Amino acid sequence: MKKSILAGILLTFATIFFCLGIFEISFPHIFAWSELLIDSFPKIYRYSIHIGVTEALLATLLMVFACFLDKILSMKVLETLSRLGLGGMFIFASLFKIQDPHNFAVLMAQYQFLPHDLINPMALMMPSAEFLVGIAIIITPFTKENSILLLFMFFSFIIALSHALFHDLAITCGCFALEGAQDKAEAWTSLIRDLVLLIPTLWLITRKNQSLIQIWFPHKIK
Amino acid sequence: MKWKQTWKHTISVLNWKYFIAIAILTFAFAIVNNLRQSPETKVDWIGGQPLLEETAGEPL
Repeated sequence: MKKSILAGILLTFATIFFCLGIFEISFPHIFAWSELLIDSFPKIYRYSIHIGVTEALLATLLMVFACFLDKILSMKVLETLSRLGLGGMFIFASLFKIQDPHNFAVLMAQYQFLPHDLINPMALMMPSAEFLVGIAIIITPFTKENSILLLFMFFSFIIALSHALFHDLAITCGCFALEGAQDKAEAWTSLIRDLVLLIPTLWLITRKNQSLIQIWFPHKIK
Repeated sequence: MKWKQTWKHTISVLNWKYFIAIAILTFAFAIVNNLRQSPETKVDWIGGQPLLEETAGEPL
């Protein structure tokens, strides 16, 4: 019982650090506190994403400790957090694109990645898929299926961003806002974030198909 | 080897009907969303968009 309480405290701190870390990686301009690394590596390091990454790593470390104390509780918290975090992020990211498909199509064209005639259909389908899968991973029990769909989306983002950075295209990621072109540092930030978020997505694929309610109350719902 | 078994098991237990359902829902959602857009934000289903000058290979 004491171990469970201690694990619960560690997991609470891990949750706070994890949420802060993801927010700082996603919206680094809000948390731009340190100028040292930005001055040292101006081309790739405009924002202080190291704070967010450090917090995410600290959260992982706390979760590992909690796992030693109470593995079942830790797994439940980790799965709940991963599903709520990924789902919430995808829903939030899709809202801007759903409201303005034209601007999103213009932004997609700047990647110079897709054939010209596929840009508009992709600009219409992609935000819808992000929104529906984001909701589905939170409320439906199809964890494996939704995680595989998220994995495909992350792969497509990573390939598109890598292509843009490789060809030295000065474009924004277009993940959370449609501000047009000019910021390559944000593309690097988005690439790092997508690579980090692959880890919980891959882990979720190995989990059992069950809803969030079934995770916490397995005996009450048949 | 354990990973290989895990992935094989994962593929074997996937509900393929769910993927079809999500694809149909996504398509329907996209159609309805495009229909409710104003003329400024609406896009044609087939076609692309022009390339902006400032995006092509500008150094940071």
